[in-house]
Amino acid sequence: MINLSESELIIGLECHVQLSTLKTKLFCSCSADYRELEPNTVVCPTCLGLPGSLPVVNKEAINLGLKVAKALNCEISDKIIFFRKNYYYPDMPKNFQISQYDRVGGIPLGRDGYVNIKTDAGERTVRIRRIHLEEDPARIVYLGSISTSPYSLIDYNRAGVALLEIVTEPDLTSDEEAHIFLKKLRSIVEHLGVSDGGLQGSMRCDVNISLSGGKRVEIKNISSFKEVKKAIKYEFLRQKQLIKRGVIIEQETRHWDEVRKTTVSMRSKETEQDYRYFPEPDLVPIHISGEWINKILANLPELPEARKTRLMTQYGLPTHDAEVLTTSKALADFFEKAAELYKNYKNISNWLMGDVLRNLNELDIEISESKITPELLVSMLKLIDEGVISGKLGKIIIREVIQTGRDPRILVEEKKLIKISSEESLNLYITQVFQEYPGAVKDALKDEKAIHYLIGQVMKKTAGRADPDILNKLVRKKLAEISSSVQ
Amino acid sequence: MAVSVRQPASFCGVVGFKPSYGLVSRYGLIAYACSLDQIGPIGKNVRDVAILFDVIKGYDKHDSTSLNFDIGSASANLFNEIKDIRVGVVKEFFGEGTDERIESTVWNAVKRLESIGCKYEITSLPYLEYAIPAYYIIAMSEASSNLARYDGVRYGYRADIESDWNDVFSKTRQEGFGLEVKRRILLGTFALTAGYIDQYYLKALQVRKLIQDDFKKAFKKYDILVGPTSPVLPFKIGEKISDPLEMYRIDVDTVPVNLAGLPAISLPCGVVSGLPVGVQLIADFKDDLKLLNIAYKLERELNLKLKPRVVAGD
Amino acid sequence: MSELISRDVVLHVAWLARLFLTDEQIEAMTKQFNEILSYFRKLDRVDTSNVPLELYVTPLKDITREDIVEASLNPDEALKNAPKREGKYFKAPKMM
Ligand SMILES: [Zn+2]
Repeated sequence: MINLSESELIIGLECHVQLSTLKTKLFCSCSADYRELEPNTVVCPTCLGLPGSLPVVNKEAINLGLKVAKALNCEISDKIIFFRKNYYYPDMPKNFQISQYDRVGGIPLGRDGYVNIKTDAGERTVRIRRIHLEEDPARIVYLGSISTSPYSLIDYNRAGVALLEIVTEPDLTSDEEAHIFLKKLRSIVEHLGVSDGGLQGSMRCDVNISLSGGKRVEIKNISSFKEVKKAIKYEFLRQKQLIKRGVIIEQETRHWDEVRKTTVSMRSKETEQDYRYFPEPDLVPIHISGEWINKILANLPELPEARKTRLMTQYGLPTHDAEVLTTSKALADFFEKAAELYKNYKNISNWLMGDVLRNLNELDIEISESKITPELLVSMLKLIDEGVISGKLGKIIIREVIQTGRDPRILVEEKKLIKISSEESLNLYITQVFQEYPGAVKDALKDEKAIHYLIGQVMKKTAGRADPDILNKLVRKKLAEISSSVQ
Repeated sequence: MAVSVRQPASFCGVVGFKPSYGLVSRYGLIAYACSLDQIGPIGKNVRDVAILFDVIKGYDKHDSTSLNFDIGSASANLFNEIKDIRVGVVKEFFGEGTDERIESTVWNAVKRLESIGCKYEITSLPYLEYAIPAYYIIAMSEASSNLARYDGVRYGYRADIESDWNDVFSKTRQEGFGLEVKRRILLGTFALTAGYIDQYYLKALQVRKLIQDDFKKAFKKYDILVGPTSPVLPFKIGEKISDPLEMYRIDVDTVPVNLAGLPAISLPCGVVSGLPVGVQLIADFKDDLKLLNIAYKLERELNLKLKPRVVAGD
Repeated sequence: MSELISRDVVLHVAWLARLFLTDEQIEAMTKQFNEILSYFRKLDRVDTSNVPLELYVTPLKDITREDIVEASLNPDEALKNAPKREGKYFKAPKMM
């Protein structure tokens, strides 16, 4: 996390959320499901920008856009007008992008909304400046990185997929806050069923960042929310260094080089002023009636905030638990599925927030990508409850369940991981450890810490299978015997 | 291009018809200026044009500006009676720069309208005076964007140099486009540039609205409006290209209907110095059938027997 | 005639349009820009202060389509006209 006391950081985000639950692209009837396909297999005259082709708006895209606008507390415009944003880049098949605009008679789909986020410093409001629909550019493949590749290869499968651009006011003050906001945004769009944030590249971001006194630098092409944090950190350090050396930060656009983890200045000097926005003459205005909005409102699903409150009342979870679980729809879904099978809700929550999330983080995957299911987690919790394995063992096998998706009961049997609670067997291990660590035994007579050390050694020898309560009792008993024999 | 049906037809002594905007799908038409472009037939006579129009018109779901509206058969409608047709002769179409010989030829045709049951009077659409700048600003703006796709990545010409995207793109455009196209791209780019868009593109849109309103008002009083198709007689290839402004001004009579999306037809009405002259009839939006019917009647009344005259080139 | 548009503006527009002109061409184009634009400025005479900005002339509105997949081009057809290709990709110049 960036230390704010050193310099004031101002961050605004332009998030691009793919409406990945749509079946077709925004302006043509090509399938929007382009992932894992051979290049240039879901393309047509329109999304290739062939001469003579024309766009036709996907009505469902507007529906989904309106849902998001409502969920982000935006004012909804009474009509949708598309504009052309003119700039030249080979990922734009027509060398202009059909987008929306908020000037020269244009109006974005939604504006003046807000999202509340919870940070370490407390609740904060991030204002949403505008939300609009636009088409996704194609995918460019580089040999190595953008700055070194001798040519670029273009796959237009992604070109024309519906994107929702969500622009915040510069209300964020750290990489961490930006990350929290993005997680919240993702949870909202997933709860709305408009986008699957787990899909590669379905949520991307441009970051506007400035240090107090400096000009605004825009970083483009950040392909995931995880990268956003890295890019902000890098750019913050870069600008701080420059300021330290007395260099004035100029307004510019930089490109996030994902391979080299640096930002590089883009040669093209186009700014917002140069895009020559004008109304798309190949489309006509679309009116948003009150009736349409009411229909959207009536069908708005439960959003993360509401779900949080419900998790607290329905399952008696503390605020913090409900907060963490609803940061991701998949996580909250996981919890509720597990809660149908197992009634100690707090226990499920503890495991999810603790060991499951920690392992997912370490493995750098999401719960939806992992093999663990609510059934498997519950199966393991029951093994612990039944005394078949210790909680400590549970912590060990949970990782294997996450990675392999195998039933904990079978894992336990296979590995003979049944808990050792017989005093006779445990005493054998204890005797062995006491012989191996005479120094520690001596210390343990006066020092509580050394007792824990000895217990730890026995645990290690039993591969965590020792029943912790019995082991604790037996070690202390043995130490007491030694102590009395010494005196 | 938007005016490249009626004006060439007029210059060649044939019939050219621009339907109401949206009656013929633009899907498949290489765009110059989307909001002004309209495909239309050119033929030897009104009947041929009507038959062809019947074939190409109709709703197309691939074109969002296509009218989902069945106007009926244009060729069958030609034989219906017409009566009590009110004709407005538009003063502005006989404005400064109009060849006097064209003026009198067109007036002769206008007078003949009486014999087919039309009553005419002179009328004025004051905002037509501004049609040329409004039209060219909008057309060039749209064209500057429409022509950007020719970058030599997916199709078409690509400059043969090894360099980065910016260089290759620029060079491709430099080598691929002709001078007039480049001039229009530059002017269109300029008209949309922040700082100038208010004075040019947006102003042109407002004037376009005024011109459209002028027509709306006129069609409350008249069934059709009449004037010449071109202010000048046909000229030699390349003759006007050196002075772009002069070239643009020749479109003075044809572009107003494009701005308003109206149907219009040019039909031969006489010959001056061996060169054909066209009269233009304009109808209200979606009144294409009525327009073709009146044109058909006028064509028969004029009964010109134009024959191509082969002239040796210089 | 006073100059409406300077050479620098024409240069900037040429850059925006990625149409690079020689010095001579810039001179000529600046002259033409001024002639043509001063003619276009005839529009200044029209009082549009009470004219609402209407972006569309067509009376059409609410034209959309349903979210139903239709066949795409086959890849060979899609790539057929590419001046340069590599495998199933279109090949474009380097970006930097
Ligand atoms: Zn397509």
